[in-house]
Amino acid sequence: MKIVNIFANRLYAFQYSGNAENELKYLLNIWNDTSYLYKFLKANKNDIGKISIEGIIDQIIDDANEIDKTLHWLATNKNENLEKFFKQLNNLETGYKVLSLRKGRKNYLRIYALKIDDNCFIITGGAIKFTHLMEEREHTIKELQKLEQAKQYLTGKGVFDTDSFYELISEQNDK
Amino acid sequence: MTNKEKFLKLVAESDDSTLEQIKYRIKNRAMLRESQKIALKVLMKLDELGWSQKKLAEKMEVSPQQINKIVSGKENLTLETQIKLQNILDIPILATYYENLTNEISQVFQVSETEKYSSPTHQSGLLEEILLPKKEFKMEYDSNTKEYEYYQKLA
Repeated sequence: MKIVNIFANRLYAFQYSGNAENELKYLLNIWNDTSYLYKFLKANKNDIGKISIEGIIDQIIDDANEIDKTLHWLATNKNENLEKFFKQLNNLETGYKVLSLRKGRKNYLRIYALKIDDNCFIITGGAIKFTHLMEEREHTIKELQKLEQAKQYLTGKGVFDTDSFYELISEQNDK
Repeated sequence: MTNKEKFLKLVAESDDSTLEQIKYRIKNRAMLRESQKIALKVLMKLDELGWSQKKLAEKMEVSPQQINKIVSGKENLTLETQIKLQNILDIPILATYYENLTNEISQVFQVSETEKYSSPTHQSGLLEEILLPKKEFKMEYDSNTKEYEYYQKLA
């Protein structure tokens, strides 16, 4: 497992062992892959109700494009805060929380992240979510587990703010 | 050197391919959107026909990897590929699909019949014969409603 820099000092993503791409790159690729979406929606047809598979695919691709544009905007405007995109995963969470669980969302699409510090986030994964709760489907349960495991990993490495996170990155790259 | 300084030095050397891909998709949005729509038509038609992607590859005389790229919706498809897909799968991709269809099924049937008409001799006092159209009718096929529109005109 390694940490990949997406854009300087602000957005990072995990690249898990055995995966060729970091989590953000992988998610944006599959959300733009018609073949993947077609298979996924056929397998989860019961969750989409009366909406046609073609309609949902169009929606997902349009939403993925909106996420592309949002991330590009945040990357090219350094004064913009990533907090605008990554909201609290737990809607009841208030105040400052170390390694707060976050989500970036656009309709059915979710990008999950941990907040390292102000305007500094690390992406742990993401999903196409049709149900109200993450606990309701296997693929979203897996994402919840990834969030928790990532938090444990960073906590285990002593990461609780930006400085300790940078220390971890430096150690990782020294190896 | 502080941890942050060490980190920032590493940032400059980092791989920014994720952001490059984002920029590529934004720049080529229109092309990718068309490619994705074609991919979906292909996938749905394959399901309808019960064909595998391998079978389509054989029919198109291309590699299965090429079909895999087509159905991912990320390829800038050549005109040749689009024509092959349209003809082999009978799916609308190019405007010619509808143009050819219109020529085939929107045929206008127009029939005119004439018959000899004999003018009543008591009215004119002369024997004369003129030709008048007895009936004209026209049928047009509407591809949307799949029904014939029928027009009739009596002489």
